[in-house]
Amino acid sequence: MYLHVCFFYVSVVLVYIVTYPAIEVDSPSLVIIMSVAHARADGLAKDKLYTLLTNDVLVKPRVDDLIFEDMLTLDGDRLRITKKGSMFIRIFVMYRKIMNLNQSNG
Amino acid sequence: MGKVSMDYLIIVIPIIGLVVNVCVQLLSFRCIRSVALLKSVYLGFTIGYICLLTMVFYWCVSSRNDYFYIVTNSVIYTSLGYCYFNFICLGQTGRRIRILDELSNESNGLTLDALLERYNARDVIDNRINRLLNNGQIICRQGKYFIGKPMVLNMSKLILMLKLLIQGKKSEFDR
Repeated sequence: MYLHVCFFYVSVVLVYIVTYPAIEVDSPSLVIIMSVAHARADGLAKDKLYTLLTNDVLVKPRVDDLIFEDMLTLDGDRLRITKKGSMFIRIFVMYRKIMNLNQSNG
Repeated sequence: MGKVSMDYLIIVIPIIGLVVNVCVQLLSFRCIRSVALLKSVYLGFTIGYICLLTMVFYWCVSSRNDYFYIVTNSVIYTSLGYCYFNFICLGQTGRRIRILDELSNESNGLTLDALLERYNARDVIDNRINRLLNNGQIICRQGKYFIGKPMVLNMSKLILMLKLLIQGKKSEFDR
């Protein structure tokens, strides 16, 4: 019974750990859907999204995250993947091969 | 079967359910053409859950703790299934994964500008819009987007609430 309760606790904690990045970082889909919702009956043009969501908002902060997490290094002006980053991405590449899927869309 | 081994068996039931879930998801996605990725996840989860309930009913039917095991095993299984679903989503839609993917094949690395030529904000927006359109979450009329099905909108509202509750702000760029 105690072991079962421990297992229950660990699984719920895992859900929190998995969900936390979605809370910490702005998901592009979330921003898009909220922007469309705010536009209401007027609708939202794609160009408006392009001006609202730039590389500074969508891509550069994630590059900074990867550098902070030691998955990328900045060598002069070149970004290089580290051993940790390579090992991490290998898990997803392997899984994609099993699933017969193409490269991630992002 | 002894009580101790029965206790261990009850604990591993959600793991067995997860294994069934993953196997069904992989096989259905690879072998049945009409099954898309999201559908295969639902199918795997459902069949894994049926296996879990069958095992719980079969082994715990004489136990006084029937409901306890049904509820806890269901929560554990759902949690593990949710983690697996997130793992698949991360691999397919994560921005960090895509950036690492682009750089993993470049032994000399890439400059930020070169990386942005391959993967940039426009790509992110286009990919997300296409996914939202395909799932009917948004609709396009005369070049403008409107809310379609409200599921992702409701999820977004829930995430915003959690952001406010946990971080005290609506966006990572808010101070």
